[in-house]
Amino acid sequence: MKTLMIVCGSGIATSTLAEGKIKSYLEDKGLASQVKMMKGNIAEQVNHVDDYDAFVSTTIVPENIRDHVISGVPLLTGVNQDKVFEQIVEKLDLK
Amino acid sequence: MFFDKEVILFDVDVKDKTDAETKLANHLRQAGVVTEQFKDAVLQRESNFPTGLQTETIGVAIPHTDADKVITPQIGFMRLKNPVTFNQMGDNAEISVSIIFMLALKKSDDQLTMLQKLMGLFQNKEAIDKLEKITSKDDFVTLMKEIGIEQ
Repeated sequence: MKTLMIVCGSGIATSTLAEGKIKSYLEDKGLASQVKMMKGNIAEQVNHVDDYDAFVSTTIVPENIRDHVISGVPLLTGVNQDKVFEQIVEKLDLK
Repeated sequence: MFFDKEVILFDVDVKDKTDAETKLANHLRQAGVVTEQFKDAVLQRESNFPTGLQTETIGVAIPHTDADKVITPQIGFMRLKNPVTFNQMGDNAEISVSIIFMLALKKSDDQLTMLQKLMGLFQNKEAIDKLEKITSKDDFVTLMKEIGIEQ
């Protein structure tokens, strides 16, 4: 089971949205059973990025962890959202 | 339910995003749906974690804060007379915003459907065109019901 953490500033609004979109996508692709999804806020999770197989944030993250984080903003705007799904699948190495 | 206090404001003249958020938060406070700390918490959060979103159709902002500053879930709407600059969520890019939905939400996944419909609205050009033109609270609530954001 792969772990996926999704964060936003508060852990309430936009991470919930991003989680909903990712979940639907994984279900459509028949990949949902391989992934344990979790939700949190950036303040709590900022030092735990590498504890998860993949990490998605809808909010800005510090420079030093930026390379480890997938931006979830396209899931909110709909602009280029397929790219986010591709990044998640690749990072989690789902087959 | 999310608009039953009718915090719905059209063509408000503001000088910047802080002014806009302050006015909208004050209206939510007057409606009794948020605590006294809500406004400052929203402003603080906006500076740490910007809430602007540039969609294909429009620049919007969805300011919000922690659930403990919220008494009853509610959404405040403000359309600006002239756009102001917000920073975009995720990358801090400057975007021009004339429509604000201030979210006073409780921590609950029940709100997922509403949030999804709100994001859908931002990508629906026809609905955005309507939103830019309507002038009455009744028409606004009707539109929100059509889209499924309001029940």
